[in-house]
Amino acid sequence: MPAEFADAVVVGSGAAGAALTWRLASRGAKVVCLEQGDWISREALPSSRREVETFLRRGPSSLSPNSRRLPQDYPVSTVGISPAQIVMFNGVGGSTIHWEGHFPRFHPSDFRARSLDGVAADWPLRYEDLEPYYDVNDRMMGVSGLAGDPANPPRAPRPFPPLALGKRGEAVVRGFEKLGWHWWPSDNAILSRDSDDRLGCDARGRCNFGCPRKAKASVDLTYWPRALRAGARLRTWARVQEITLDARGRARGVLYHDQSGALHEQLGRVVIVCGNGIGTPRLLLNSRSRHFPDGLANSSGLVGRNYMTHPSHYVEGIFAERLDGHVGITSNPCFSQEFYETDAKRDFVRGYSLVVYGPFGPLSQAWGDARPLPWGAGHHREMRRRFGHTVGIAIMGEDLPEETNRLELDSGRHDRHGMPAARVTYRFGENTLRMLDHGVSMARRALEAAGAVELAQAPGPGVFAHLMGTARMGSDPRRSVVDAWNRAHDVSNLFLVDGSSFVTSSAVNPTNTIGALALRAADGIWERRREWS
Amino acid sequence: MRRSITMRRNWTRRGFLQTAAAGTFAATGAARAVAAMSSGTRPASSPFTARLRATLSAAMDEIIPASDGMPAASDTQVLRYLEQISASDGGVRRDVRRAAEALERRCRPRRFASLSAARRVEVMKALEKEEPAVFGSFRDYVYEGYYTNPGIWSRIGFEFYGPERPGPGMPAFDESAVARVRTGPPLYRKLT
Repeated sequence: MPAEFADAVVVGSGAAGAALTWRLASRGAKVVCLEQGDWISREALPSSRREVETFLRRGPSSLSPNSRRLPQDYPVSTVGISPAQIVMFNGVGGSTIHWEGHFPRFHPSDFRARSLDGVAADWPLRYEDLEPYYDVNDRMMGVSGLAGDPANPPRAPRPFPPLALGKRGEAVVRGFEKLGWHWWPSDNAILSRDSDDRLGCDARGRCNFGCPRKAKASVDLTYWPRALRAGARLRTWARVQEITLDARGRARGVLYHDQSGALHEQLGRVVIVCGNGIGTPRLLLNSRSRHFPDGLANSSGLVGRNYMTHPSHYVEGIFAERLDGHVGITSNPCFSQEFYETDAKRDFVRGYSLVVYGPFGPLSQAWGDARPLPWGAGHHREMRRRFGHTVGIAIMGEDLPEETNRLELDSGRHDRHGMPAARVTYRFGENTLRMLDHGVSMARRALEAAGAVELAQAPGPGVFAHLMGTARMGSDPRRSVVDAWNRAHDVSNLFLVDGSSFVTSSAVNPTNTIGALALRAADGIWERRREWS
Repeated sequence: MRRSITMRRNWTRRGFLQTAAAGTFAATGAARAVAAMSSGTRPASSPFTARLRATLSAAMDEIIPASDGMPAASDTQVLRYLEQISASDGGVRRDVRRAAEALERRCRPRRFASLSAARRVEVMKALEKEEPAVFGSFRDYVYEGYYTNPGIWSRIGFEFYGPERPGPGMPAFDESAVARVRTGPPLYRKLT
C-alpha cells in the first residue's frame, strides 16, 4: 500500500499533465504524477547523429511507438480504409519531446461547428474561456511570434519576436502576396532569443529529434522544473494499468507497475488522466468493473469513439534558386488561413491551414515527401536539381468526428506488463477528401505564383498524427464523456484532460489548446477542492 | 536575410558543372575519400552470404551509379551500411533479402551480378513495376546508406550542424513583410 495520499493523482507527464501539475502544485495541492517512461537527456536525443533522418521511418528514436518498441512504449495497430499513422512519445514531456513546436490557437468558430455549420458538435466552452489560459501557456512555453494576425482574434504581444521566415518561407510568401492571400509568421514554442538556461534558435533544423540549445520547448524543460520546485512529485517508470474505485463508484486511485513490474496503488482525492487521444481511452477501457462493465466513464459508449487526427496532403515545388529548405526550424515559419473558415461556395464545410515545410535533409529529399528521387542514370542530376531547391506546402485539414473512427483495446497484443494494446480504426470522410482536393489546388496555385518551375504532389492523403476526440467534452452525458471542466460525467472525481476531450479538431496543431485546457481544468479542480476532501 | 550556406560551402551550380565534366567518379581518389568518411564498422559476421552480397552490390550500383561527378553506392560503403542495419533489425534484413532473392529469381539461370548493366536495369525495372513494395524498400535503404554519409553531404552542399558547431543563425524577422496582410479585414468569424 502507498505511504502517501495525494490530493491529485495525474497520469501522464506530457503537455497536459505537466501544465496541470504545475498549476495545481503552485496553488498548494499535493500532486503525484505517474509517468510510464523516464526523463530524457538532451545528449540522448539523436538530432546530432548522422543517421538522424532514418528515424523518420524506423529505429529506436523513431517518432512511432510501433517502430521504437522501447520498454515504455505500447503497440498501436491501425486498421480501416485509411489507416492512420500513429506518432507519440512516452517519457517525461510526452510527445513534446518529438514535436516541432508549432503553437497556434483554435479559432472561435472551432468551438461552434454545429451551430455555425451544422456538423460535429459544439464545445461546452468558448474561445474566450480559454483565451487567458492560452496566454499563460504561451508565456510558460516561451512562444515566438507576432501579434496582429487578422485571421485570428487579437492576442497579447508574443513573449518573443517571430522567428525568421528563411528562404523557404520568403519564397512561398511571394506566392501568397501575389495572390493577395492571408499569411502570417507562425507562433512557435521555439525561442528566438536566449532566455534563462535556454538559448535562442540558431536554425540548425531537426527540431523533432532534440534541440541541443533547448530552444525548442518541451514541457520537461518548461513546466516540469517549476512544478517540482512547487512541490509536485513525479514518479517515472510508473505505468498505470487501471483506475481503482471505492464502494460508491468514485475514483480511489490508480494501480501502476514500477520498473520491476511490481504493482502498487497510488491513492488520491481526484484522479486526472492526461494520456492523450490514445492513452486515455485505452486506460478507461481497461478499467472495467462491476460499476462500469464497458469501461470506466463510458455510459455514453463514446470512450474511444470520434477519433480525430489532421488529414493532410502535400505539394512540393522545385525552384530555380537555391532555398535550402532544410535550414531553419523544422516546423513551419509561416502559414496561410485563407481557407480556414467555412465558405458556402465550396463543396465542403469547415476548412484548412496551408503550412510551409521544407525537406528534412538529403535523405528525405531522396525518399521524397511528394515523390522519390529517380534511381539510375539520372539520379545525381535530379538530386542536384532538387536538393536545396524544393519547398512544400502541407494542407492541414479539419477532421470531422465520426463514431466509426475509433480506438479499441487490442486483446491480441499487449504491453510488457500484460495490458492490452490499442487498435485504431480510421477512414477519411467525404468532406475531408473534398477539402483536401481543394487544398491541393490552392497549394499548387500558391507555389506557381511563388515561382516554382515544377510541382509534384504526394501520391495520396496522409495525416498529421494528432490524437483527439476519444473522450469528448459536452453538456449532455449521453453524448459526451466529460463536462466543460473535463470532469467525467460518470465519476465525479475523475478528470480526463488532453486531446481526447476535444469536441472538434480544428485545422491547427492541438498542443497549445491541450495546455490551455489543462490549465483551466486545474483551476476548476482547485476551486472545487472542498468537494474532494 | 539568412546567410547562404550554398556560398559558404563553395558549392555552386558552376562548380557542379565543372565537377560533372570530369566524368565518371568511381575508383578515383575522391571516391576513396568519401568511403573513408563512412564511420561505420563492419559487423563481425555479415548477415548475408557472399553470393547475396554480390547481388546487392550490383543492384545498388544501378540505383546509384557513378556518374556526374558522384561515386556509386558500392564505393561509399552502402553495402556495409546494409549489413549493419540488417544485423540489428530483422525487418530490414527480411526486406533486403527479399529484394535480392526477387532479382535472382528473375534472371535464372544466370546470376544477377553477371548480367550486363543494361540487362540488370531491365530486371530491376520489371521488379519495380510488378513488386513495387519490394523494390521500393530496397531502393530506400540504398538511399539511406548513401545520403547519411558525410562524404556525400559535402558534395551536394549539405551542412550538418552537430553539437560542436553553431547553426547558420536566426536573423530578425522583417515586420514590413506583413504590411499588406496586417491591414486586411478580419478573416475569422466573430461570435457573440
